[in-house]
Amino acid sequence: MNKPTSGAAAVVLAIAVAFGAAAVDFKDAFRTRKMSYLMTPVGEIYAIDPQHPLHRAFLFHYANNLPYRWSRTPLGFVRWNSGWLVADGSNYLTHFRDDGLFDALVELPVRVVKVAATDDAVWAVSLIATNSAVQLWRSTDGHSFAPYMGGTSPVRFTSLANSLLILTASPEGDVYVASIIGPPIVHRVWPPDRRSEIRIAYSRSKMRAGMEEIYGAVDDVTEYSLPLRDILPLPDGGFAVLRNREDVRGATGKLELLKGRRADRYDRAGHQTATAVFARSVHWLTEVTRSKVIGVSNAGDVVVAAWGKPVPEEIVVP
Amino acid sequence: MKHIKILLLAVTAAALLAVPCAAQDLAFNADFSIGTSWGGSGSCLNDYNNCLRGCGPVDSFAAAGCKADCWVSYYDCVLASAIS
Repeated sequence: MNKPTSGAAAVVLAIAVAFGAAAVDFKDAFRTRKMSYLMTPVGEIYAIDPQHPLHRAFLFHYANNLPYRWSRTPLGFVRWNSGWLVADGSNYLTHFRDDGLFDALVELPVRVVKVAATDDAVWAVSLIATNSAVQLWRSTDGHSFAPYMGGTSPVRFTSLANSLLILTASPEGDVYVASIIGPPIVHRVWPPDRRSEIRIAYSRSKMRAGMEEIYGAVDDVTEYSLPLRDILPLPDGGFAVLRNREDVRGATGKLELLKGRRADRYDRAGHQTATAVFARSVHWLTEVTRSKVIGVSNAGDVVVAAWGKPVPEEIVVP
Repeated sequence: MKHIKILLLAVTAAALLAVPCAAQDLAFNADFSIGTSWGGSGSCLNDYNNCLRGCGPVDSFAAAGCKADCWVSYYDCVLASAIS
């Protein structure tokens, strides 16, 4: 159903996936080489791949097939080593077998809300880190986690909001981190010999560009620099970025807000090679080919856009 | 008697397991004033402040865990707002 069409660098196809009357509100997405998975707040897993539309795959459950009872809302998950690990903001990951059957609780040294996985390691973001040296945790057995210190600093964070991170990883081993609130920079933190900071394209107002750092508690984050909402590592060593909250100049000359509408492709060296524009806002990228990119909203809308010429970074003045 | 011993052992083990996390929660709470209501009128902050009131005033391990749970909810709320 996700057949690409040619045309301008605009959207080519938008498909609303019908889930009936009940609204779906996905909390997290996880991508493998062949498949993308999305998780609902009650622990339902949906799947999408190039051959199949978004569909309900299974529900995390007990041996008697009863739904797993969460003590907290599940917020992040990965598929790893023939099983699933789910984070809920506590200092435990819940481990399920491949078919979603509950297996065990894995105790962690810190509270975790976000997890990512390469073929050989699980990564987690601490929710209670006070500096970057204790923010990222890594495990090669899925049980024992140690802080990843590469390129980090023990300088105390200026705000709790420093824990708001995008964390994604590729099966091949690349791990990317970016701040939800902050400058438009993606950090490749693994493998060690490819560690780098990559500046990404982001269009924002001069005011937003001046609000890259938070001090203390945040009342309204929407005015801050919010450059990206997703990173999808690619098998060739490059990656795709889904821009988040952008200010762009509209046809009338006034600034307009674009939210989750533009994606960019970057090569292995971190050079921007293409931009695509979605017809509607999406939350995650699920597939990238040479000609198109597919995104999914947190309500389950699947939207396809064609790659076009790269649209560079811009600071626009009202 | 045997059942009581088993129960005591289980309670002690649970308490010991909870301590490292609670200790971290306490340290984190103190570092970022998590236990204190924050100013502001945004819905995330309102929810956060209301949540804190339910944790009680005592700066115990239990209250620290409760307050850190409030922070988890606040985190999720701010994240949803940032990516709305």
